[in-house]
Amino acid sequence: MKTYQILFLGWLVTTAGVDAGTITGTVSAHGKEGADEDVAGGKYASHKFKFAERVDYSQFHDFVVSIDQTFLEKMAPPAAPLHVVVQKDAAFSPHILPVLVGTTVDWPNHDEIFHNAFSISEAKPFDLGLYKDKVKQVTFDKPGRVDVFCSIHSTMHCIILIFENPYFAMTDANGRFTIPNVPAGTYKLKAWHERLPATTREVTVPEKGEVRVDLTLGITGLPEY
Amino acid sequence: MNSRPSQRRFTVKAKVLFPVVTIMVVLVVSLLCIANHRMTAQVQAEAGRRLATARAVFSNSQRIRAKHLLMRFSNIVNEPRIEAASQLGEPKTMLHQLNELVGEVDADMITYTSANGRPLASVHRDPELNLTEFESTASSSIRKALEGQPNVDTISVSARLFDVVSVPISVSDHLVGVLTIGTEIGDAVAHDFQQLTHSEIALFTHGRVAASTLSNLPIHDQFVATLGNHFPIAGTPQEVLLGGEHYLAMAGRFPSLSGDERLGYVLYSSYEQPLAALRATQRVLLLLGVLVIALSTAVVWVLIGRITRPLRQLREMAERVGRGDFSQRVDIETRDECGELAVAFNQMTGNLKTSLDELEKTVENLKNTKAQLTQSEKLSVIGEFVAGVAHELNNPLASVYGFAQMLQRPGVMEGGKHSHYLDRVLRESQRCHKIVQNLLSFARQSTPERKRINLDDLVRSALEILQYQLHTGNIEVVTDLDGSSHDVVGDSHQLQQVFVNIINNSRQAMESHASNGILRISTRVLDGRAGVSFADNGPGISPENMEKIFTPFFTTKEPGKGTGLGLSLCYGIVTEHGGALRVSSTLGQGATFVVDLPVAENAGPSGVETSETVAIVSSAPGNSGKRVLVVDDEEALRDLISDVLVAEQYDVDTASDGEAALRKTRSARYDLILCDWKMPGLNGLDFYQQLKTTNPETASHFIFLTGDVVGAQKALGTQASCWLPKPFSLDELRGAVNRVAVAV
Repeated sequence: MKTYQILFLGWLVTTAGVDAGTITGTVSAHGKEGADEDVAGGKYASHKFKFAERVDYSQFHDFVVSIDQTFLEKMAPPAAPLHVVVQKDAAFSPHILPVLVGTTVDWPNHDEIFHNAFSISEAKPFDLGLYKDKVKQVTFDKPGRVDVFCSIHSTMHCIILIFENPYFAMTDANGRFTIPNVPAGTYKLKAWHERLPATTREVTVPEKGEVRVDLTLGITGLPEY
Repeated sequence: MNSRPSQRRFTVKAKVLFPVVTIMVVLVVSLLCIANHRMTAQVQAEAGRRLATARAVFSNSQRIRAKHLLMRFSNIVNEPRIEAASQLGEPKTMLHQLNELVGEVDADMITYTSANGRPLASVHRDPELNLTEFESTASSSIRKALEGQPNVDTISVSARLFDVVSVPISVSDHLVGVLTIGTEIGDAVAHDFQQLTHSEIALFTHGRVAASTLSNLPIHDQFVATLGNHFPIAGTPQEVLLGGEHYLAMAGRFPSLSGDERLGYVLYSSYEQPLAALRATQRVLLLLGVLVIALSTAVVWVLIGRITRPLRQLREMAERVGRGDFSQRVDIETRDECGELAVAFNQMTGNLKTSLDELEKTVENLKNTKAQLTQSEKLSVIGEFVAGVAHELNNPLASVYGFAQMLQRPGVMEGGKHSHYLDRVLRESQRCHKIVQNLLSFARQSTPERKRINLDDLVRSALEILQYQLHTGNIEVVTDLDGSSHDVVGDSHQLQQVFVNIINNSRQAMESHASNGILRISTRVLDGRAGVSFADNGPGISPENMEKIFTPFFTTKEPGKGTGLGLSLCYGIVTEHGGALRVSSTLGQGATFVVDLPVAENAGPSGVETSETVAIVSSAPGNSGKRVLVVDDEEALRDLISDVLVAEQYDVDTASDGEAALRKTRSARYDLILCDWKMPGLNGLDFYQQLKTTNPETASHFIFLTGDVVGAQKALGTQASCWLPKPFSLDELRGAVNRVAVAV
């Protein structure tokens, strides 16, 4: 997947003209203020956190950063189906896949057992049926989020995020991201994670050079009770 | 109670205490045994009930579990993924599906069987489980499911027990396969059961333990041994001992579709705790029992002590009474048998005392009677020879009479023969005196006394008394007296009486037998005993009489001649002196009496009677003017005394009787009164008594003149006064008068 991304970004860099900057930074997650201390302080078993799932926020990954804004010029989808979701060991891989609208994704089954892939999401409902030793394809032509499951393996699940513009990126293993060739201007930068509320930040992209943005996701602003 | 331990091995206390304690011990022990048995039975019954409950709970929970499993797994087959996988009929997909499922539903083994009955895929969580075995042992259940009936069964796989649920999978009313899910009935189930019922459980399959809550205890061999082909059917509970703990065990069997009878369980219900409580109770009971025994023993001990106290008192009193102490009475006032006994005892003591007093009185009477008898015997002896005595007196009296007449003849004074005649008169009158004195001495009744007496003298005096009788009876007396001074201690009068009696008996016997009797009297001292033997040559004593010779009132003499008391009295007297009186005889050749007496130790006060009469005091000058009153009814005696005293230069007055004398003492003062004992009218004693009250000064100088020494002595007793026995010599008269007069 990384290979495809880098190629894609390389392509962006070469095709884009001048007056474009780069957004770079990190995304991290943290829990409720003070919760870590409480956890460390051994109050986790208290009544207050009785039903709270213990989450290690530092281990979160697969954040997706995107510019939540509609650009006037329509971006053409990539011609080749470069995006693949593999069924292997009774799991979809990758688990999170951000794609530009109109992208077709391949669904090869690399297991020896039958699998199925289906979605009932609004953006793209489909059912590929049970198959083995085959590659099936799905084209995502609407922006949004599509959850894909296997009908016989309840643990199999993946999410396809479909964006309108190409200015999005996934964080690497260290939480770093880079969105190159962003036209200069002020944008709303949105950070997303499967299990956390998304957050948005105003970011001004210079004409040349890069702007660094560090984003933090977490459960904040909850009412105290 | 312990004064005579050697006599009484068991006291009343012990006799009562022993059975009481024995009964108590038996009672307590039997009570303990009964209580123990009852409680143990109850504990076991309780354990049994708990076991039955546990069994019911267990089988019920098994049913519920089976039902629950069936419900749970019935729904699984309706899931689309299962249906989809079943429809596919592809082993690997199914295997994966089952693997997923086995984790989800918390089962141990799952197998999928196609509609044709062949297993498609099987999975297990524990690789040790043999899936082939699972497929085969679950076949009964699977077959039933293939027929369209979901069911539950219990099976054994790899020596472990499983609940197995087989559910048919149908897609649009068409059977596509059977899903069979095995869930182990293992330690978790056993522990749940243990928590629920507080009983232990061991699950068995084919003779091996599949699961157990007794993991730390070896399963009882007895049960293991029975876990062969024929597992014990649930029956009566059995007692087992596991690891030192008491259990009640009950076996049961799981229902099996395949009819496998070797799937079972044993429930163990420990009754160790109630048993321990029981033991604690037993200890408490035992302690209580011991306490009760000890307490009752103490109580009984004290009570018996109190009950027997009167008995001890009675015993003490009895001992006192036994010693002759009647002074105390038993003081027991209880109203029981002891009180009655005390009353009876007191009555008895009183009666005894009365009897004893009467006895003493009787003995006293008897003594008096004996003394009287002795006296009368003596008098009878005297009566016997009084004629002889009179005759004997006549001889000297004849001489006195004759010589006195000779003295009256004129011319006697010149011839110088008068002094010769006077001598004869004096000698013959002395002889008379002696004869009378002997007789009086013998007749005297005196109180018994103990003095030193010379045996030879006694024999001689006895012979003197009987001299005349012996002489007139023509009996020759041969004395062989020892001569040495061997004294005995005793009463001279009594012993004299003994000798007189024996000699007199011999005399009488010899007189009647032959004309020439010989009486041999000898005294000998041998080994501290003095013996006097009297041997005669009379007729002797017949053997039949010999036996009765000392019996009172036994006599061989004619009636009126003897009292029959003589020898019996002698025997009594000699025995009282610590001696012996023996008799031996050969019929026709005489008899020998031997008096044997203990010899007195050393020299003591001589018993030879010193005359109590006044000692002779030589005439003292200066008697002139002293007034003497002579009272006597005998005119001759009165004149004689007057003449003698006038010669002594006393101023003598006379009175013929007591009345006259009393009159004279009133009118005149006398330094000395000589008074006869026996007088007509006021006698000597009466006169003395009256004088003593009126004129004690004069009464203190009083001399009695008496011929009856015995009577006078008796009457005067302790009264201080002297007496002069008649007849007396002139010297004796003078001496007595001078002595008393000098004291004035």
